[in-house]
Amino acid sequence: MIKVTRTFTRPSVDIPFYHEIQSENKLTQTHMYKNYILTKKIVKSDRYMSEDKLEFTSYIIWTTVNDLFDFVTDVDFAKLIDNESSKKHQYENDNDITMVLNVEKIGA
Amino acid sequence: MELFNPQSGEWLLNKFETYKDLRTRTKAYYSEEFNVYVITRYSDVMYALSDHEIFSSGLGNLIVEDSRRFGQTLGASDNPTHDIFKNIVKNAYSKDNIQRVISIMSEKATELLTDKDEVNISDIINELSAWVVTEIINFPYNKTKIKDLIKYIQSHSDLAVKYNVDTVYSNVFRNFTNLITSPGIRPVAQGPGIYQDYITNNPNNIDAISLFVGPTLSGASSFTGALTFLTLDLYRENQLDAIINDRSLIPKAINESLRFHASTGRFSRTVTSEVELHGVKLKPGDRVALCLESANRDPDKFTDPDKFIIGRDTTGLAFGHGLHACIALAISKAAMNGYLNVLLDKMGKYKVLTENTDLEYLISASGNNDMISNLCIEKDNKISI
Repeated sequence: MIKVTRTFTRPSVDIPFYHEIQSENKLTQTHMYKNYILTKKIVKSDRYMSEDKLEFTSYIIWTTVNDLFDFVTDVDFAKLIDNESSKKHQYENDNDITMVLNVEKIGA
Repeated sequence: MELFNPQSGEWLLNKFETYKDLRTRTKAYYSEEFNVYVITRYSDVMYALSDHEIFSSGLGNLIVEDSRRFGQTLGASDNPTHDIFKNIVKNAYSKDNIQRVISIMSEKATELLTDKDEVNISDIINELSAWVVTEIINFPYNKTKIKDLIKYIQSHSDLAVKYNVDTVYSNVFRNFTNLITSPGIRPVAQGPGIYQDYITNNPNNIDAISLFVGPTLSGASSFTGALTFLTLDLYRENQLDAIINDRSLIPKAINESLRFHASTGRFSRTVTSEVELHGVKLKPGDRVALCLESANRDPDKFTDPDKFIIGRDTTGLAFGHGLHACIALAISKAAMNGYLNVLLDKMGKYKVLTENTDLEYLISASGNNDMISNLCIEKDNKISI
């Protein structure tokens, strides 16, 4: 299995993370559910905040590397998030919110 | 009036007439729009290509450059970086791997041309070029999906074309490339290619994702141009009977096609020390456009340069010369050979349906490559295969 973890860090709790000011797009949720959760390509996903509220972590565990590649090369999904993704990066840049991506093999 | 405008469809249709004028001028023409001295004579282009220290590629080789490339690609680097990159990927361009790639491309060409009476050959060529690049890279992942990404990128990436840009596919390709080469999860290579070289033949673990992006952009468009002009010129210059009657002429016809129409017609260089070229005293920082396509039509080098003559004893400068001679020269010639044999098998003495004046160029973002989008051909009805 492959675990992809994204950890966002903000300079102050007064600055909201992007997901706190922008509700998730229903179309992207449906796309993820239909193409990756129902097909069991995603084993588990979760998100949590650190105790000091400065770090927000979300992760997805993929069944195989190819399942993850299917997602990364999913042009339909990329088109769905294209505009939102630019806005999100801009917001995070403007507010000094950093993101660290970690990809690792887990389990057998 | 701008006499050098490789981002104009009209200029591209008439460029060889303009080059005739530029070659005979006492001083090299300076293009304000592109900030380049336009170097058009064979001897001058050859001189500049041969001296990679005075004519540096370190600030790029595109007519319209993009600073994101500097020091990151084979074409936009000087030594030692250039040789380091070249050594990493050289196995991908080995004779055996070229044979493997072209065999796959020929199968695809056979599928695409079988039982067709009339085709937009530009579309088929785009597809085949994307397959060639997919196989040269050889990611251990769904080939059809990668091919589709590459095919779309070559006609919609902001680094490939000036109009009809759609960056989604480029972003997806870049994210995928970053991920598949991540040390934590990179899968084992499934065969020879740039991916395998990048993983196993990269002693210093250089993180140069552009080694994948380079072939995807410049490689695909260069293959596309070479196959398109081969198709077009053999018909327009009445050479089909000759090669149909004697296919051993095909390698010579390919050499002449590359001279007649270099698919990558122009490269830029930046001058590093004072030098005189075509009547102009160049100083450090000046940019030159080395017009290979004009050099290849220079009457001081080639007899009857505007005639397509199979069997010339002098080949042109397509794919450059010297340190920066294109690493893909051998595979390009092999692709042209494989493609042409299938084309002749399936379409016989084909007829080009698109008039010269109706050819539509995809306007290249770099100003280096020429790709046509609407070349249509018709099968010779006399053949039955």
